[in-house]
Amino acid sequence: MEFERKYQGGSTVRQTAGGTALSFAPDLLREPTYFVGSLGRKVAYREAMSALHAVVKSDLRFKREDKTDYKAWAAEQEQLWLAEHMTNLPDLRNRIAEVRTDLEAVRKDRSRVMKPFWAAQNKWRRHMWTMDYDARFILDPVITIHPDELFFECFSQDESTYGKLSLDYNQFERVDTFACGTTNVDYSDALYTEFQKIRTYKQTDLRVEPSGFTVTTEREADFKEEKIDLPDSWVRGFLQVSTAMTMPAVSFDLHPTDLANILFVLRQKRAKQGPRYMRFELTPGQAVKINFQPWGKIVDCPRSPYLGDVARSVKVWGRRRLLVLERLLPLADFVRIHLLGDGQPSFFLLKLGGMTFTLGMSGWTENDWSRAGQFNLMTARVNYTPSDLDRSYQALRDNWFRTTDQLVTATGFDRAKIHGLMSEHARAGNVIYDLNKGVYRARELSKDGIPLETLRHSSEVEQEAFILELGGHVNITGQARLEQGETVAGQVNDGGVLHKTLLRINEDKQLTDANCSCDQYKANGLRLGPCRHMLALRMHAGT
Amino acid sequence: MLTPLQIQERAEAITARLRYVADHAAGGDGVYTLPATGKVIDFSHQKNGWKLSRLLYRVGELRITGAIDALLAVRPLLVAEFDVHAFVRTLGIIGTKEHIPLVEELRRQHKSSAIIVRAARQSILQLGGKLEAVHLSDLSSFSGVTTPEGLNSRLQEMTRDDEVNDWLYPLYLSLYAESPSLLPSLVLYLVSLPQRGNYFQPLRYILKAAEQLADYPTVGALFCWIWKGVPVSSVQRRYDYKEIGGRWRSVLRSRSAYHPAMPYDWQNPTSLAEMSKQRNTKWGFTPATRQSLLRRGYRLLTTLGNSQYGKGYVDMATNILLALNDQTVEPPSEESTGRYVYDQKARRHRYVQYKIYYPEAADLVPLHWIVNGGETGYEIDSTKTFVSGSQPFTALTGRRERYAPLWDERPEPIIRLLGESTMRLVQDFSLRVFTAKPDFSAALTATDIDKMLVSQHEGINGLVPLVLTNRPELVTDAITYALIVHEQEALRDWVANNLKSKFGLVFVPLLTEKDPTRLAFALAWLERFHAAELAQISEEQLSALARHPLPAAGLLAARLLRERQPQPYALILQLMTAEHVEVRAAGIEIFGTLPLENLYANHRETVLGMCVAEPEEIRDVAVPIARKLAQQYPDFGKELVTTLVDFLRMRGQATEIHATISELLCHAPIRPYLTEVSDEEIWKLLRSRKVPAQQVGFVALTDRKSTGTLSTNELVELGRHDWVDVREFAHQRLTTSADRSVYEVLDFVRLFDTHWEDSRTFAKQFLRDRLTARDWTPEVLIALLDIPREDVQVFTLEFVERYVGKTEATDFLLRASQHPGRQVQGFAANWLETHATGQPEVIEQLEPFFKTLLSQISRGRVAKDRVFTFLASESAKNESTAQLVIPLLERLMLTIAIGDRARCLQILNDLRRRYPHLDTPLQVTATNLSQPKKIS
Repeated sequence: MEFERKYQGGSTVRQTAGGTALSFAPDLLREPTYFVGSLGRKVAYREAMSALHAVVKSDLRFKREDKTDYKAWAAEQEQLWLAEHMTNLPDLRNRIAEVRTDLEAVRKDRSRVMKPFWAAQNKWRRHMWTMDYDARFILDPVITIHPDELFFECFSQDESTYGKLSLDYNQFERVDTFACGTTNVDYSDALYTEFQKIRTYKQTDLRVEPSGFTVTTEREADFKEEKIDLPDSWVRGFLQVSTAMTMPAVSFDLHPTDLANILFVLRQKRAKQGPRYMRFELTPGQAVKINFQPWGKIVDCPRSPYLGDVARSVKVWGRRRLLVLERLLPLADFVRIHLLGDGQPSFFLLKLGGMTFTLGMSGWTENDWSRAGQFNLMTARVNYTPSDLDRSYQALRDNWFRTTDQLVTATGFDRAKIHGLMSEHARAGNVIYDLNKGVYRARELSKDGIPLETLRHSSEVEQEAFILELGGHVNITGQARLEQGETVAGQVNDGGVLHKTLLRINEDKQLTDANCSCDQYKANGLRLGPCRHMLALRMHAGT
Repeated sequence: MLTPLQIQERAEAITARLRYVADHAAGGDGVYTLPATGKVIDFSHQKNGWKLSRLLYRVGELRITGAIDALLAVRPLLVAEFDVHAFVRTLGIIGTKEHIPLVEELRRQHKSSAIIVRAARQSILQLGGKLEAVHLSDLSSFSGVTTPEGLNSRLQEMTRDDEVNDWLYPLYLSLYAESPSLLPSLVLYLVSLPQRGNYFQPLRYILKAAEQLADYPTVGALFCWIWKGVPVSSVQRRYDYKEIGGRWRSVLRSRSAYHPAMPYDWQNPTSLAEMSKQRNTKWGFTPATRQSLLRRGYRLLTTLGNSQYGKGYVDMATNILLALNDQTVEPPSEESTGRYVYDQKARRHRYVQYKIYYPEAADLVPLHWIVNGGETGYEIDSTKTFVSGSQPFTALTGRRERYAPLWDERPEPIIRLLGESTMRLVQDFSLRVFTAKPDFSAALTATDIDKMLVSQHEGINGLVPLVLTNRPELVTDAITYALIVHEQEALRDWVANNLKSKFGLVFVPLLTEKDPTRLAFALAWLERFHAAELAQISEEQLSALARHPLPAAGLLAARLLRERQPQPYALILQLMTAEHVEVRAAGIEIFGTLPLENLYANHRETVLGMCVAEPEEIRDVAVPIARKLAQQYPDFGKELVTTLVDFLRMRGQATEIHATISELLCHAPIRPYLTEVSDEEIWKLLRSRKVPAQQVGFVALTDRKSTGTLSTNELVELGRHDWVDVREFAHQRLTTSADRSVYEVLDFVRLFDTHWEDSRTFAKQFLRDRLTARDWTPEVLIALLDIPREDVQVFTLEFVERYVGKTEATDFLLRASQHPGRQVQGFAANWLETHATGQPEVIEQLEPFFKTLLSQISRGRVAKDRVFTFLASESAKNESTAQLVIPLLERLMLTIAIGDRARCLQILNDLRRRYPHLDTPLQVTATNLSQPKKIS
């Protein structure tokens, strides 16, 4: 998907001895959205923005080791090894030893001669990495200005972590002017460096520049236009996490030290094999317990009782993403956690006085086919007409944010329908649910709209599986817990042909093995990924 | 070739045979005498007499008009379909108008037979009758078409690749009857159609109709179309084994139609008859059909050649030869092969090797049949694919075409071959005949001469001067021009020596000449023979030359313009904006020779525009002009600088143009004008991402007399520039104005905030050398610590200990505690004992610092220990500090880091004892310690 941006100049930070002026350049292709104010809690803001930056930079995807050099060396050695292996003649062996000695000497010489070059090359690479770092940012953060607060949103490179920082206006010593709306701001790594210079003893002004909207001279180099081609999977991931905020969840609070304890365990230990989840064990009236696998380590949270009525146990994967919250620990008053279910998105809200930092995490760090996938998040939950959609959105947009009850009064729809419609808007990237204040907020992620139909499914196979499951063609014939994981057996009726399918899922919710009676599996096994019958069965089983 | 007597005898023999068939049925004796030779033939004793249809076809084939009575006599004997077809067809060929009713009657009687109906229609047409309106009803789209172009476009509209296109056959008949002048266009279109089934069927009908109607040009063209076709369809034969006469033999069971693009059903194959009936667009012609039609064509050629219809032979052969224009000529070759021969004596097979020789264009069998057919070794079997022999083919000389006298009868076919053939072998043939018949040149027209001049054959080209010498009335302006621009020098020389040319005769056509070689010859001619007139051509003519699509004309226009005074600017501009580089360069060069006053007065914008033009050659000329103008006219220099600086600042990537601009602006004589650039513009240039813009900005800056007034901030910004020259300049200026740099040290320290190591190194050395103890204020140190570079922080901390006095230390500590860097935080923790002890209000302000440090996960052990120790001692000394510390430790005390937990508990316990009235989160419960077990 292509996103177009236009900025006049770029975001800047001007530092003087007595003050810091943060000036964000808004996207001029969107409706005028601006803000001018002076920050009150400067250091807290600095830390919160640093955490947001950590979310933007976060990329916990597995990166394969580069073995190119080794392979090149091995290719060189191969001939020697082969010769050695083949020969039995002492003369030849001696000759090989001589050549090898010469070769080693040549290699040493080469290293000596090339060392300064390689050092300079690495230095240049590091320099380019820094210089060109901005090119690797996926999407500039979105800033939304509402009558009661302004908030920044961003999404990580590995498509798994969502970050939101909300600032009440009481965080500002002075608010001069603002225009409500949503815009993208030009963000860069250099800005992060400037943020680190914010201090309490310097006045800090925050501006989302209004002047760009009035400038008419566009020929100058100051204007920067860019088109960013985002992978569909990235946009889908963002919308999935946003949509997840509208769904019912189990919530409880943790003391900041409890969060610190979680981070302590993560920092101390690193799992080399699965399962790699942490399980929140929630018993009504009792302290929250967190069980870390594969070690079985339990962390008690005696200052954080679970106040719900029903006992729950929820597994969360991709826990290392929580490490971005470390900088916020000193500022946090408490941490509110919202969990949707095993392998579903989870949200960690840190209350930082008048600011709230929301960390949203998708089910896993890598949303590949081997996991359950976020099938249901992109599914419509209620029947609606286009006019219902328009009406509900307009009702929200008139005030920028509203509670469910207010929307019911404004539209005349019942609560269930309001929830469904707002979920629909969230899927389209036009609305988010503010977990902190419990209101829906109008926020257009893209000015051009997002083509949902192309994003609903990550692949054709998933779409076909969805159709099968939706059509009621899936029947589970057996489901069994194993020592580590579970199996699911079922039948899928595909075009009148009944296919028998079996899934084996491990404790990390990975599909470790599967088979099916369809032609695709018979011809290719799992080399092409799971067939649509396997995915449909998995969707139906909800594992 | 048969003599006329032989032809006559043959015709009479066939007529007699036909008469015999009629008489025999009536009981005749079968003895006939041929009038021409008196020969007597007794048919009654001949075995295996001809079939009636064969006899009738033969009469029609030989066009024996004398057999009409005999033909009519056999009418009562017509029974089989082919007999009737042959009768109708032959009647059309040899009959007269009176026989039209008979044909009509037969058509009505046999209206269910498509071949008889077709033959009848053709015969009626041939006998002078009219085509029926019903058969022309599907030709309504072609009504009103009178020109070849109109016919062609209508044909393209109507032709459907997925249909059989039945309408082609009646269209042919209609044009034959009504518009024979359009027939060549139709035939030309037909031979361009692919050899597929949907086209093959109607074209076969047309071929047979043309044969009947003696339209031999059409027959020849279609013959070649069939010859070029590659049969795709085939016949699948299935055999059975049957016992016949006591022996098992393989017997053909069935034949079915096969086409690779159509699914073949082995169980139920489609018979040939069914396939033929199907209106199938894929089904083409089989190899057998192709051979049959080719044999028929060669036989027709032979028949025509041996008959009194030599004209027909020549027409057909001419069209065949012209249809081979698109074929390639393979060189002579040979092939080694062998076969096994049984040696009777040795009683075994021996492998005998031998060679097969192929002449030039061995695969063009029709060509050799016609052109070399009279030569030994070329009497080939016409059904063969190649001409070959067991001996090498010798080079052929002289006339050796088949039926040579027929070619001598009329000049038109030879003239046509001379002008239209593009195959060398055919051209050689036509040249041979033409040379042997000098009287043929009397038939040449100017159009023919034009065609001969265009021919690629040198010999044919060489004929033209000979012809024109004898026939000067054929010399037209077009021909003269064609000779003047001909690639053969001999022809050009002949014109120079024999013809008189006029200026307009050459100049006008060259303006539309598309061939560069011909244009070059035309221009050379003008320069050689009409130089004076050339020099005097009008502006319009010069403009037309300049506009010419080929560069040579433009270059000539430039040369003429160069020699002309005055030089109209419009023409110069036209050359400068020409399509070709060399013409543009010539135009620009002329522009450059314009007087400076003229350029300055009238063409300043053009010069400015040329300086930023994309083509390099324009800039190469414009830059020296701009320099000269700037040298002479200061206000031009200023305008140039303003325009070019604006261009540099425009959005976009740096290109060669920017490099040119930079080169122009940064050197004399333009450089002094850079004073026109405002300070603001200079900074914009320096901040630009384009290197040429930076270069110009830097030069403008350094030339400014007032560089000494650059502020420290500005110098620091220069010191952080990506370009090393700029940085070195900044370093130098900062050193020169060292006092001011020291005075504005808070601005100076921003120089550390750069990734350029040279600037950081310079800055460090500068501070070491220039700053005194008094200058190292906490603000400076804090400003340095704020820079997010480890080496700078390390550098700064070195001075902190040295220069931060006791009175400033506390304030310094408070500021340093807000630093996010771990190193600085660790340093601040180190200072607690010295500079925060005994100061509750300071400790209170450091509360966020303590919280931050103590909240670190698995990090900052040393700093944490220092903080714990500090808090423990301070809270013990002061109750208000204790009141601050208790909630702080309460927050942390349930950490699972046992070391931190232990410290928290320890301190809280201590505070609980020391200040029992303060609310601590600890509750001490007495417990009974169990007695240790004695180990026995």
